[in-house]
Amino acid sequence: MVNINLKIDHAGEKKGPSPITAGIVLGSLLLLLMLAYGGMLFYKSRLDKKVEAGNTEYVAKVGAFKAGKAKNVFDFQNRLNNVINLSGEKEKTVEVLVNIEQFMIPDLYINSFEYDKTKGEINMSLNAKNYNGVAKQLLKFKNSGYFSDIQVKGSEVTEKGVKFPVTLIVK
Amino acid sequence: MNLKILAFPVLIFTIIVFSIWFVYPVYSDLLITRAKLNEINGKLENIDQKTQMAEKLNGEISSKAEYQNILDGFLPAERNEEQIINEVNDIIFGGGMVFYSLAFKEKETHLEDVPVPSLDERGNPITDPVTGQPVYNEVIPKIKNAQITIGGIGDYDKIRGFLRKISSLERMNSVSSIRIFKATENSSGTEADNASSGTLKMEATVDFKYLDKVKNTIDMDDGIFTTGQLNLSALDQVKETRNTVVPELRTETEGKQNPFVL
Repeated sequence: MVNINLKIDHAGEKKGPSPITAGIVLGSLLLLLMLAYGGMLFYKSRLDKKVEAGNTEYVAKVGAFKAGKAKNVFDFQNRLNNVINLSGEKEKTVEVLVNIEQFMIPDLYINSFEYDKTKGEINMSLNAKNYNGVAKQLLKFKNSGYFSDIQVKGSEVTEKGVKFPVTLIVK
Repeated sequence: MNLKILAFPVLIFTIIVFSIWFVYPVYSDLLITRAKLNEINGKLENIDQKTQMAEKLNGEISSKAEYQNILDGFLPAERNEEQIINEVNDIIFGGGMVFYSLAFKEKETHLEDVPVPSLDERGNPITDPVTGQPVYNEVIPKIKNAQITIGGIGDYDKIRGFLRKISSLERMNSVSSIRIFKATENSSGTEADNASSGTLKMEATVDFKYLDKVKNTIDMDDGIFTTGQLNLSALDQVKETRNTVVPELRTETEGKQNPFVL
């Protein structure tokens, strides 16, 4: 007769935590969470106060900054920036006159001269001895390379010679 | 025993619910508040540094009175018509010319002041509640022109001398237009042809620059408050090139018993 051993061996089987232990662990965890929650609420209220105080301090400091020495410094710097921009500007009027002197041929004279810096335009009324003088003068202006456009708007023969208006556009 | 079995899932459920509904939101808020605090601390540090820099620069400016004088002379804060008339008068007569007219233009054309968005006390842009667009109530001044038309009589050399002198005046100006014509021009505006006449009339329109003082706006982000460097080389250049000196205008006596007689 064969003997069959029906006894179950519990020696290798792990025992789970008892419900009481699990309850204690979970309860402690919950308590810990509640403590952390309370702590965070307290810390946050302190931080809120610090933020509020910081904002108030910042507003006061900005006010003092704007009303204080910074205004003088900013005004000085604003002026300085404008001076830097302006100091690069060239006074063109004298330069234009000097160039016109160089480009004039001897047989001619100016009745009137007008220069508009904004438009870069010179309007002159010139008097030449004859039309040959007119042509030579126009050629001289063209060859100068100083003007981008030269326009003769007509001419009139008078007892003094040929009077003609001319418009020159400075490059 | 049943109670013990029930307590386990109830505790787990409570922990999860508590964590999600209470702990996590407070933790998130805490992080945001800390970030805000860091930000405000950064802004405070920044404004402290800028204030210190402004004080340092102000001291530097005060110690360089010569540069301040050059700046004020080159680009005054007001039109100063009396100064312009005094300077033009000095140059005209000093150069042997004669006045025949002098007029300020009533409405000058100049660049508009630069509008900047208004900021609240915390440095945030103020927006229109209806449109949501930034509000522009403040301006940074730009250059303005006091425009004067000068009528003078003299020969060509004198007129050219006048132009040279006025362009080297201590105060910034520019000749915006000029008309030179024979002094014998007749009443209809046409020039009389007189080849030999050396006397000329000049009508010059000159823009004398000025720049209003900063009133209500300071650009706190301007580089000057971080770099702390004043670039004064432009003023050295002004000092070198602007050498026409006109005696300062002074009033010797005050008051007159009969203001209708000389």
